[in-house]
Amino acid sequence: MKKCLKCSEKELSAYLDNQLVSNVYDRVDAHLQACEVCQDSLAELKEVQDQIQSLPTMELSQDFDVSFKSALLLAEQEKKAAQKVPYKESFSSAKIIFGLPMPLQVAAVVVLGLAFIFGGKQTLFPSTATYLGALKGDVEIKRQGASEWKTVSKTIRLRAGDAVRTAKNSQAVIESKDIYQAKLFEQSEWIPFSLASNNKNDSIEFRLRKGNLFVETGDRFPGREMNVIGPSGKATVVGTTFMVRALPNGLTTLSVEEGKVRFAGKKKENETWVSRFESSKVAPSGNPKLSQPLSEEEFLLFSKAKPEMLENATNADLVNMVEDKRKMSSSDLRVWQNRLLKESDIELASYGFYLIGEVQEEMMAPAEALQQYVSVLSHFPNSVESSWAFEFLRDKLELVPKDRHVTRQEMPATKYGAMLKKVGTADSLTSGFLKGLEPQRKFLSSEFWVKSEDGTSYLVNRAITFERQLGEKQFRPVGYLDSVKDPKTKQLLLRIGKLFSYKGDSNLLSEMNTAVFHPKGKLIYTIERDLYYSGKKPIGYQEVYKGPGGAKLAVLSRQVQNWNRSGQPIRYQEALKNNQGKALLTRKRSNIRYGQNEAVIDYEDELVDVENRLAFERGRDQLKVAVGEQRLSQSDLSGFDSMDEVMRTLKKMQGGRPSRFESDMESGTPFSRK
Amino acid sequence: MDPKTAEAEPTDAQLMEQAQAGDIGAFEQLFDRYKQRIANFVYQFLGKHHLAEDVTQLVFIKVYQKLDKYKPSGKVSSWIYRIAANQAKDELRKLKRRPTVSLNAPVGSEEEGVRELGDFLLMDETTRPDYLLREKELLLQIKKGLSEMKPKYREVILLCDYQGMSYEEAAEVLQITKTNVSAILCRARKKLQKSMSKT
Repeated sequence: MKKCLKCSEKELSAYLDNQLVSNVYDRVDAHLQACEVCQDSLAELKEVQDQIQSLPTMELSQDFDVSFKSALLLAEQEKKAAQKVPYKESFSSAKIIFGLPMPLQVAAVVVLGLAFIFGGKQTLFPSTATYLGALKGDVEIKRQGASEWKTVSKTIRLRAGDAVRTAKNSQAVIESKDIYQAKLFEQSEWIPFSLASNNKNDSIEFRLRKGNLFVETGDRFPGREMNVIGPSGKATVVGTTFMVRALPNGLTTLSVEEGKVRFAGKKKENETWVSRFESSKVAPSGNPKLSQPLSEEEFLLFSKAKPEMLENATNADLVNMVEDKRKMSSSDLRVWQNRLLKESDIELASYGFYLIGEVQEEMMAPAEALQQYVSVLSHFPNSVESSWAFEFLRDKLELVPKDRHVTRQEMPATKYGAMLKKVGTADSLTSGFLKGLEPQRKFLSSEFWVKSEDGTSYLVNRAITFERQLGEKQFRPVGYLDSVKDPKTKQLLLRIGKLFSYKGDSNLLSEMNTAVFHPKGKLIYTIERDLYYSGKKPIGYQEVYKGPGGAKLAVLSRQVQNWNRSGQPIRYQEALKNNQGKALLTRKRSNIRYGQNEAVIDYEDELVDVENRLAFERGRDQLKVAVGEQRLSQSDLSGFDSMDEVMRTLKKMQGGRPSRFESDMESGTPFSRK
Repeated sequence: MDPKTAEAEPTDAQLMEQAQAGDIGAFEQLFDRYKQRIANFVYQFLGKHHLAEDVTQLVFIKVYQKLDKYKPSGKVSSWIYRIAANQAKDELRKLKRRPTVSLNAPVGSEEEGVRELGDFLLMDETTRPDYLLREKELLLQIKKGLSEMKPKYREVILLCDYQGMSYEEAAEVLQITKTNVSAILCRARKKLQKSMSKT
């Protein structure tokens, strides 16, 4: 490469950034006019700068803010905990005051709402003072320290420690302007420990002794904390929507509709986070259980807490409301969707579905929104509106390039269905956190279409589970489950189960065997994987696909071609062959960044994928588990006619030096590390 | 700038002063102002989407915890970036101590899903990753180049070329001289150019 002696690269770099002092800038500028070498160098630097500038920005997850603010609150609480009464103590004292037995037949329900639901409503009262009023029927209050209950006949200001109760067919309203508004339903009893104040650091704390309490938080709520204490658990609101139920059997359950909620048993160390559309429960002396998806009953409970909207509106009204951008909660949308399925006006129903899909797009995880679209296909395959839904779906999934876009006028809905099958793609839709006590789990759910050789398309729902142990940063895949459905019959065709396990701190998968079963239990095929080492050096692996009875269907093999100075693989080649030895897939080259999970692979001279499946490491015991004498004797690394040829190639790859691989072979303990 | 707008938008220094006095709202404003920039920087520095969010959170928790340590002599943004750079380097060190090779999760974003051989066997041409990922090749080359760089080169090139900082600002963040920034940036660019031309 040519170099110019009159101008340094550092000067050119600074020139590019306009960071040179004027006399040097002028000199370099003048020199550049005449020097082609420097012009080229400058152009190269500029190109690098352009490329860096073109790097994408990071898309923060939707719950990033909430998650951060929760973390911040925790940090703040920890700080405060050193100065204030410990959590455990305050929880116990609450129990002493309010720990009277719950009527068995009554479940207490608390629902808290997101700010946006509340936003726009006319509020009744100024400042942060909290007021109580009777909406209907008999509402009574017992002031703190008093022994008598008094009827509430007008709006009165509440104080901490007052107790409020409602008779049958009665309802009370409690409000702190723009912070929260609550409705206490019939036959309920509620006591506020601490009410909202001007200081955001003061938490709001309630105990619900029986009945139902519905709360919507307002614009001034964010940054505050609201604790709702049930008989066996405590939920902490951090700008979200959730429901606490004190069940007759003593369990306290928490169901979350929006955001995240911290849920604790009586011991602080047992607390857990419950995310959107999940629920958890805790027994009186137990720990919160691992979160589960919300049940249909729980969705309905959310919806029943706010019945006015759906009860008083027809499907056409609801369509108008959504078109007018009126907000509907996820639960309402779900209930409305079920109602639409019974709507006799197909056009109205399918248009309703389309609108729900649009709203869900903003409100729900994409996978769930897509499921709504898929349901449009199954219920209204021939309606015009469902074609819109498909069009929308296809755009979202980027199934086909824009220039192959087909408008609904040109092709009816059924054709869209056909097209979807033909294209048959799209996956990777959402992820969610489910944090238990240990380990923490994360699910990546995806939905995609695959097309078999006979042209049949199947819808695959895949749930991959990642886990991380306490104290670990990294989530690791531990398994996945696929269900494959025929979209017409909705019949489950087969189920793929796969389990991984890790040993100790290593990243090496020690078990990599997969079995694919028919739902009735018939084995369809298996995948067996072996990893190969020469001493500490990884030299390749293979996966053998076998049918029932052990007949070989295909073999995928990889051989490492180059290693870096640390002995880690940096290049390899791989081949996929069928049982006749015919090449199905050849990946000619790959560049692997060990430890960075990166590889660029060519597929017939084109980029195929980013791969990171080569795992080589590390703890003595993994090798023993992963490879061994028995497996070697069965192996036939694809692409080689004989084991001798494998040996020759391996030796060549290692520069002709005698390898541990070879000596191990001779000693009868191949690939074992000593 | 419209004077009214200027009035409505407090400066970083004003927000910092209020946050130091215990106004969590002011701190949240600072968080909103910088979260995206910090997340971008951390993401490109670590090259791992799933870590970047966690680290960004940690950065702002640290900012919050160290509010009383901030001294008005420097810029607020530089101080936050300094915490971010240190946190990102810490994370990188941890990763190096215990390198992880995920066998299934693809590079890039988790949202890209997991593809395995079974998928290849079932996919038709238009679903093959080569069809979908061709346009990402160049991006991968840059990312690869960045990941091969020493952290001290990576942070300078990201601060100057990606975040658009001047030499002076980068020097304040990294607590090195402007001359050093200039030298490191030049070397980083050359290294990246060399790395990209190899692939």
